Amino acid sequence: MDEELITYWFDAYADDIYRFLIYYMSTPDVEDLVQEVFIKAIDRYDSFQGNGSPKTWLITIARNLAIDEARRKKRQDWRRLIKTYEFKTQDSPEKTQLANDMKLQLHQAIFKLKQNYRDVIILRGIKELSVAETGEILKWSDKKVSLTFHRALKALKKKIEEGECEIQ
Amino acid sequence: MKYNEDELQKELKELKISGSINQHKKESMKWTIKEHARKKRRRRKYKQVIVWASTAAALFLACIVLFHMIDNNQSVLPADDHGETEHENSIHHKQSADTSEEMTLSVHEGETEKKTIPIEGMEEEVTVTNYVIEPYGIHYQMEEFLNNYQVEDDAVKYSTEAENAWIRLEVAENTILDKVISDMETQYTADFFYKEEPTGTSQEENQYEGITQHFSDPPQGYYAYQIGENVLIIQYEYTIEAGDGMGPRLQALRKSIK
Repeated sequence: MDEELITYWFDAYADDIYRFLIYYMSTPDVEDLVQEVFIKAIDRYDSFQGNGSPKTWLITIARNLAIDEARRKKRQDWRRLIKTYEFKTQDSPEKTQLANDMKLQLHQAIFKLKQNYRDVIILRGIKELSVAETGEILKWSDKKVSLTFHRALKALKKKIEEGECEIQ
Repeated sequence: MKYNEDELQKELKELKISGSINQHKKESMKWTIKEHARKKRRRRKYKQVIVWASTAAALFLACIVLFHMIDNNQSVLPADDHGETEHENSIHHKQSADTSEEMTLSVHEGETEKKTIPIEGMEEEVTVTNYVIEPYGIHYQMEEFLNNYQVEDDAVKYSTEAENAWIRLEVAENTILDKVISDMETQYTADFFYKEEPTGTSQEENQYEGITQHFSDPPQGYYAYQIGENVLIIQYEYTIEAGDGMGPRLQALRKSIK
């Protein structure tokens, strides 16, 4: 893989990967993982299908790295995660706090979902990837993506309603 | 807090962040990634060179081995040539086998010289030709009276133009005189009018221990000399008409052996 191509990919997709990893790891401290994603991409370039999307391929690598990283250590940093959100300046401090609480609750509920639900919620729900792109990353059929996403939403709703999530 | 599915999806979209990697950090990461790509490319080129070199070396060695196989066995020739080569090889092997068991006799003709021999009571100057039986290195001279010769299997036979006399020289390998005498008895089995008993040859004629036996009619017989581990056998036969000159010529031959 030549330097020009990986540089082009980095410029085009580094921020996307960065945000995906924030959702997945529940912490903004993922820059080292972003770099690792692109290094892995160089090493595994032979396995990249030329007609595939570089973005979905890079997200697949990022997901695998994130899973490995999550197994090694718990890196969630909810408070720093909330600080990554920008809020409208005209909102009152109370309203801002309420919005923060809601987002944090949602993040924690997502984090507590089982792996495949979490995958599809992040990819389809937050990143708004298409069914086809999500299927390409997770190696699922379109039908499975849609069905699992529907079930994941129900499971997420239940987690929130049960109020299991609290700010830690 | 209660959500319906649409509201939940809307809330999820709200989780989307617009943050990006710090530009300074991004440049640093990009440099590290590019450096990794450069190293990877260098390693790949190095590996390619190693693979190419080892493949070339393997092919070169294979070619050498193949060349030697073809050279030694002629194993990849077309069928006809292969057959012919096999035939040649078989001949070669037969010759080798023959050589290992009994060396192939050949005669080298040397220069001629004048010599005086007594024929019918008169000193007569004759021309003799020097010969060597190889590979035994046995030297002898043959008078021009018997100037026709041909190598037959393991012997050389000289004959006159009139074909009224011949002398045959043969080398029996790795044997002794007693064995040769025994073999000669099986050859001279005719009911001869005259038959001598095997007797020793004269040491004045040449240095070698020998046996001779004479028969008639027609006059014929043999001389056998132990030369090292081999025995030189000289057989002769001639008609009565050629008889007067054959005795001296045979004697000259015996004397010339060395």
